[in-house]
Amino acid sequence: MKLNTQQIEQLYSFTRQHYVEWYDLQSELVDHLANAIEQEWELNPNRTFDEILNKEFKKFGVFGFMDMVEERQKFLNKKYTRLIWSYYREFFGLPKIILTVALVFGVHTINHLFSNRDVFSTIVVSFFLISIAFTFKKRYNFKQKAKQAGKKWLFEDIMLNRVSLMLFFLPSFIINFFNTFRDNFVPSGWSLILGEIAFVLVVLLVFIQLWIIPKRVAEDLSKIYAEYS
Amino acid sequence: MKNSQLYKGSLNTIIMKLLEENGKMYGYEITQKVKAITQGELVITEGALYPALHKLEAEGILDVEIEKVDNRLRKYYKLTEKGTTETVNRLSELEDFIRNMQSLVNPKLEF
Repeated sequence: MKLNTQQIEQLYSFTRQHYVEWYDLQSELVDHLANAIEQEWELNPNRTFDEILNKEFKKFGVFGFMDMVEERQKFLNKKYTRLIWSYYREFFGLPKIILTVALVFGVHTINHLFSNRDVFSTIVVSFFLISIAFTFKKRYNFKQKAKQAGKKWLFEDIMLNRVSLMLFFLPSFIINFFNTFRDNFVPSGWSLILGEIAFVLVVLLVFIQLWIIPKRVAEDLSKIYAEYS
Repeated sequence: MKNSQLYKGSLNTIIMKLLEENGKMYGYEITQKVKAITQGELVITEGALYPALHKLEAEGILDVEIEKVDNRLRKYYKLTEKGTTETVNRLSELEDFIRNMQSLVNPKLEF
């Protein structure tokens, strides 16, 4: 006997009750549990759905589905870090290095033109504030999307957490920036150029995490899951 | 899985060998196949299987494919190119291990 749609739904809510919030992981577990129940019904048709479900769940061990979730989180976190560095590296090879150099040159020209430390500070602070606002907006959009679709995806969640971590560190960057340069910052010479390079490096890192990677994550998920939108 | 370190250490190789023979398989199918081949002697527990599958996927040894079967989604695992090469290596390593263990456990002493 095959499980009906209502029973499949019941299995999805069972995984949710056991702390598996993500649709990609839930689907794999639901199929496994469904197969086990169907097979048991072939051998013992009198056993109830709940009875077999509880027996099968015990096979996952004392931590239930958590080992599987942890392994998956570890994998996707590593994948995320790998993605950041692979895109980051591109900005130091041809052709994108031209853009990187142009950015440093652009920031340097602005500093040179205005020759005032407040201009650079304003650029840095504005950039950080815009990034923080943008990250908040992204988080909100993802949450709304998950609510509407009723599905959360683990890789999207990991991406949001990592971006939020960055969000957490950005204000401390701003504070450090001002503490370091408050009294003795003269916008000239090597210290200025180093500051400009450092700023461009951070800009690239933020850009990759806020623009490039979300698109890549969406692409990867939709390639595997037709349900992803 | 049988409560023995010997089996636990070989879980990845067992999965890879099965996928090499069968092309693509899903989690439940793997547990049943092992049970059938070993006539119930070896039972892979779900708590060990899925973390192992996800780890192999992370290492680039396995690739995944989702198919809609009946009224649910099924996740199939298959070997990548790297996985196919790695399977050959791990199997020959395992065979060496078995041969060496046999000679140690059952030594033919010739002087």
